[in-house]
Amino acid sequence: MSGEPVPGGPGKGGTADGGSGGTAGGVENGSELSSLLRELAAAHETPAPVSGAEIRGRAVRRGCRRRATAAASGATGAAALALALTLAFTGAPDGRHGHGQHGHTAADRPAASTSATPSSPAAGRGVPVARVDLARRVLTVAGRTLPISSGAERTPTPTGRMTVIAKYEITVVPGTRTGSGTHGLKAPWVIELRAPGDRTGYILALTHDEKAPGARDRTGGWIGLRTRDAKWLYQRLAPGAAVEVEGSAPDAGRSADAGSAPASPAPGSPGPESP
Amino acid sequence: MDEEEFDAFYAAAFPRLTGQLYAFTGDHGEAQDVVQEAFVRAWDHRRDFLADGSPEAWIRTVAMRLAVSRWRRARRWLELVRRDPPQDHVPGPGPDRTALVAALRTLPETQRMAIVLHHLCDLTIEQVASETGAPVGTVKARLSRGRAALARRLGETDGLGEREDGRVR
Repeated sequence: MSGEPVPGGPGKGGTADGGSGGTAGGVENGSELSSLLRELAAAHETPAPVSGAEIRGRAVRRGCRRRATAAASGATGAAALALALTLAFTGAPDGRHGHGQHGHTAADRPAASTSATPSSPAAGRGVPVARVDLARRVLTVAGRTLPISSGAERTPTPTGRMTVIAKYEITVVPGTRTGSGTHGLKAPWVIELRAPGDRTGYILALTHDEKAPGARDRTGGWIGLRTRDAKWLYQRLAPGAAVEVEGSAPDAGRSADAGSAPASPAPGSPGPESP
Repeated sequence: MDEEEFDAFYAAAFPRLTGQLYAFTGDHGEAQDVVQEAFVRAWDHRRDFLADGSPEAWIRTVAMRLAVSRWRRARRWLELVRRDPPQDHVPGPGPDRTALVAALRTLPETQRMAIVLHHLCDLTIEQVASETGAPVGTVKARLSRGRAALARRLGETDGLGEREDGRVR
């Protein structure tokens, strides 16, 4: 993949634009192609038409202040079966917008890095971090620990990087499509998440089963909290917050209705090990 | 990255990236648009963007994805309007389209992306694979098919086209 031009480079003429002539044979040779492409790209470099300040202004005006947490990557350490949910709060609780898809086309983490990290992200920046460990079924937010319940076997909770796109004081949440025979659920304090691939996740108050959070994973794919916890979280989580969901539920390998509560649902205690 | 650093990075990287995106899209205005949009998103997501290691690669990836989705939208729209679906990869009209660009635009976008990333942007085959979510073997196949197709196209125009100072019309 080296880019050194080879002898007998871009045929006759060989202008940056049109140097392709007489090189058909050489194109199958990668370096020849590289030098042609380089010339082409170089000929079409364009100075930035607007200032950097203008670019930043557009980003700000768009109002989607999604502050990804630097800590997201550190959340995995625990175990393969831990579901780490990292929530970043935006500063503004009033950020209202419904454009989940915008954020994700852009945020679908580019993987390749061709050079070393130029600088590390400014640590902290006053962003509170919340974390859900599904093996223990707890959500740690701003120093508080809340028990949670997630998707049962047939209705696993979606995973991946998500963004809070909307909040509802009360709404009907559709059943997940992954499960069979799912049904909707009317719930208060609903936080809607958009995941890559247009999947949707929900954090909500599990009013019909206040004892499930911390004890069992038996929701239709959403992340259920006790009602007062859900309300508390609802008030603190703003649209635009980034959410990282990983792993699978401890109960995911069991029947949805097994109802096998772990010995101790207390926050902080180790949860049941999955097979 | 503070505001000054971002502005400096933007000024330095914008020209290079538009050149690369031109090779990918074959359309100058489009290349500028998607790169600019990618920078807007970069500032919006500057944490992700920095955590990712290479800011320039991040921008390029976002810009390429934007270009791909715009291209698909435009094609779907054309299909709706014209009823008869257009052939895939019809080169759009463009005053400064050159033989190489025209040839590139005849490639399926997966091949085109592999070619541009590997041969222009200097990503290794493994990096192209992780960037595009395809297995390494697939990337190799795309590269070799893409190169062969380009060579064929350029060979044809050599035989058919009028050549003046290296340009093929």
